[in-house]
Amino acid sequence: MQTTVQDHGRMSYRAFGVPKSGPMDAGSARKANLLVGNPDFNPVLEFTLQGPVIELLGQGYIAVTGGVFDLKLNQQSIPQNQAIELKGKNKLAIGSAQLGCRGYIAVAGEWLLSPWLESCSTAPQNTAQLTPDSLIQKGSEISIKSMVRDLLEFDIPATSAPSGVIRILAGPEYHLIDTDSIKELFKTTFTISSQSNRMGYRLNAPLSRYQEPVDIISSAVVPGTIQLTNSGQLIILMADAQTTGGYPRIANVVSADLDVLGQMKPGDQIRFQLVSLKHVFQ
Amino acid sequence: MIQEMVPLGDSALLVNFESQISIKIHQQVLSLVSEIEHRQLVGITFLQPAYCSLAIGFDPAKLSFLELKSTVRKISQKLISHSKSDGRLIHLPVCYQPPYALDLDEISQRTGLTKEEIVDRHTGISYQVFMLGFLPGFPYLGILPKPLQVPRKETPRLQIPERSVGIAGLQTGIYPSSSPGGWNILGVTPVPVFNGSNKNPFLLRVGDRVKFQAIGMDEYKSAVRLIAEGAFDWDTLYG
Repeated sequence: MQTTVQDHGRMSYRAFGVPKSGPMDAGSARKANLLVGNPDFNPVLEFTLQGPVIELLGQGYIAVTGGVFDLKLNQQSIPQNQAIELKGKNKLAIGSAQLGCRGYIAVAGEWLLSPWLESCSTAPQNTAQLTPDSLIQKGSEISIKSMVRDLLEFDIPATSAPSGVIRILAGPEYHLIDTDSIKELFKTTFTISSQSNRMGYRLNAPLSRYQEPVDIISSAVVPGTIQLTNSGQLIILMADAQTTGGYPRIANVVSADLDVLGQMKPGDQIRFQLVSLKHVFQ
Repeated sequence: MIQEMVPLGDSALLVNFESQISIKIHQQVLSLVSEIEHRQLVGITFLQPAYCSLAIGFDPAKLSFLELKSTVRKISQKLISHSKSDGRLIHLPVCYQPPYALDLDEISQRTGLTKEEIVDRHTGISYQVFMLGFLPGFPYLGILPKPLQVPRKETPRLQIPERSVGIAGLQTGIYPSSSPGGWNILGVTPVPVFNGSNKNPFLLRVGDRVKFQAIGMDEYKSAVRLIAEGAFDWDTLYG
């Protein structure tokens, strides 16, 4: 339903309380750009569950990546995960997600958008004021200075259903949480709740054995931080999350699996697997 | 000094200092920030100071967790603590009158202080900007005098007007834009702490000091007008 513009985001402004933003599935956004010869984190359109209908005017290349969506160019089915050359006037219609949750549209060239704090990503708050060019709604237009660089030939593996096993690193407060709750964290299959969006995913059910809340002094959180609220609810912070928090950080999702989570939707189920930093960089 | 260094995910290192809200500990955090900034280390993606911690983002392709940890350990051995005078002192006018002082009556009942006493206490000392968070440009200021320390509201408000000045626990803060929130609102400042269309949208940064000054309704309205017209004398904030 929601379509936004996403690029590398605003990670360097965390000290001022600015959310990172950026694609929920960074790997797929990057692939879309590579397919059309763009720099890795050129702006892309990120769409969620249901894709947009876009009229494309002019000459250039596009590519669509991410979850599996029904794609139609002028009512003809077209493949995902490859560059498609366009000329003249074309209508791209993207249906609903058949697999995964989010898709990405890259268009070769320079997107003529005014950045805010060095990024064209749609600002999660005060969007109309901060990133008016990146506010995508019915009737929005984006100008792109079409540019075709050498296209790389490479294969992208077909999107597969996510396994649902999410690797996590112990968070700063992991060792302060009671052992019964920790056992529950790894034994339970959690469901992503309907109260989930680009800011965070709430998981059902809450940890039932978490009886004595751990109190901490507010400190930094990052996308991937899993907070444990006083009622035992787990919240996985995602790309648009705020920068600080006062709940214990029980764990952090490893970066690669954050992309996997970005393709999951309310109702999907996950389990957690504890890994070490050494494992992540092997 | 540094108590521990732990991963905050696979691309950030969290440095924890002694776990307390105090100016002394926060100055240690700031000293580490300025040392790291000064050295311009390759591979650092962000520095995010808080009350008694510093998160250091790194690009694992350029810098490993262990390398960063050992560098920080070396730096921390020769830290010179920041002195109070290093941050800027900013004077912020606040109108503590209705209709802006949404919770002044309630705070008066809860603390047993008169409204005048609350304003006197709130404006009586300068506060340290411990961190920015929650919303872009939201400053967490402290330490609030003990008699003013009250918990957050039980039910958060759905909409707190922008520039509202609130208190919660040891902290006082300013809503940079209108938002839901649970802090007790004492008044409003005419000065935006966040202006998205400025090249630098943030009035405050971590380590600054803020002193509030009570102003009347007329003065508040005139300052709002001057700021909107671009005729406000910003130097008065730093006087």
